[in-house]
Amino acid sequence: MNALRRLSDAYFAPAPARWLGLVRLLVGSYAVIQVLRRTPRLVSFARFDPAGFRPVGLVSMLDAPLPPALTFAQPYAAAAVGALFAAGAFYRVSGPLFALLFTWVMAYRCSWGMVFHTESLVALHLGILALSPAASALSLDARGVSEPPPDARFGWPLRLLAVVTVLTYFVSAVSKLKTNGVGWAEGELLRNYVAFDALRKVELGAFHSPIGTALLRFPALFAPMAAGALALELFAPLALVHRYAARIWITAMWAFHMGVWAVMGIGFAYPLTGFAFLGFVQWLDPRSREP
Amino acid sequence: MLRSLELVAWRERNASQQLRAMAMERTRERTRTHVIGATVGIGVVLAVLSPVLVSGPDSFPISSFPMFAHVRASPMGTITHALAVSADGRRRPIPPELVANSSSLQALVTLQATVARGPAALATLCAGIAERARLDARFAGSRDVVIETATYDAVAYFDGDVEPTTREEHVRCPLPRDPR
Repeated sequence: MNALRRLSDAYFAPAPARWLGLVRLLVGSYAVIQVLRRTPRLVSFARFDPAGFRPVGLVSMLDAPLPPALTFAQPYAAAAVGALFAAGAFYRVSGPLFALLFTWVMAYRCSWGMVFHTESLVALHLGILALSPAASALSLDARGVSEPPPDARFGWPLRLLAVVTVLTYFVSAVSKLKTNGVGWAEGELLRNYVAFDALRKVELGAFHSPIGTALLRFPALFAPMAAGALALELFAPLALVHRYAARIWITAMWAFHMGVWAVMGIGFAYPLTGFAFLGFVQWLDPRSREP
Repeated sequence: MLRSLELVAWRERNASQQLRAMAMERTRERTRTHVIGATVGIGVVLAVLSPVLVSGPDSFPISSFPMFAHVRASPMGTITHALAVSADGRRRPIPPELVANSSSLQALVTLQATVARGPAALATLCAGIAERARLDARFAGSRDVVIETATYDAVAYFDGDVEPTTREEHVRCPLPRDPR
């Protein structure tokens, strides 16, 4: 019961409304930019063979692809509502609606035979923000209204954002261990992945990273890389224990993603921009006294 | 005097009732926050962990994130790709944006899925790729579009061994000449 009480106290510790508002603004803006950036790919599905439609997630409710007009319209509709979300305008509606539209649009992108994971965490974060009073400060809805005092209702969404971030990495580590056991950390698998990814890109006429292909000549490097990556993912939940652990883990995870970008040319923009770690905002504040 | 005392007592009772009402309201708010926070928290955590607890197909946004979890014990890898072939036999990869969209992964799965659907689907895709490649100056000297599946040693490939160990051509279609 003592542990449960401590967990509850940590989860429901008060936070300033402006922290949650800032996270809403940043995550919402990031999500809108991603929708707009991917619009050429998102509208390209209008000319795909309908036989290739393999709906996932929310899109599973469809038996057939959307008509071209809706395929074209959906990213723009999502971006428009997303702008309201980021600005904190009509948030009671724009909050849940944008979380839903973003998830829909990105699930539609994943419904043609290939599930992309770069925006999964964004969708989860938007869902949490949509269910929280994230427009109580730093928003159009709150203009002219004095900021409410720090409260638990502004704190638990931030904690949950951080929890979900570390859990996604933890789940990824478990996936690796389930299919390959601890042998994943020996390096050979990672080397094969790097080689195959580069081969695929060359033979499909896409850009590949010359750094990755150069490293293939040094097999011994892949064991520490693989072991380090697996450890960072598997022990990610420890970042929730103390603010110093959080700072070390975030720095290491950012470096890990820089490494993936350099070696494989695969950029996970959400963690690379730091936005994936905004749930830790109170712990990243050097003035924070939270343990 | 008595009336003043009664007034003071009434005011004190009123103030104390107001304080009690405010305290009760704060308690209700606190309880509401805890119920919502706990419900959303437990629900989201269970959802994110569900792929670990229950096996199922990959999805979005709930996923087991299997990007690097598939078994790849050997460097041998099979690629289905579209190539532009010139009259002298030179083969050049057709980029993803002319096959599907700018994602190489999407192009790969589109090609693989079309192979699985058979000759009619392959012919349609091949013709579509050829039409788009016709407008691309990079393929001005190419004569045909070929969709094939080839197996390579991915590590040896980058040591110079670029020839596939196996190659299977699925469809070939002409690249229309640009009338200009």
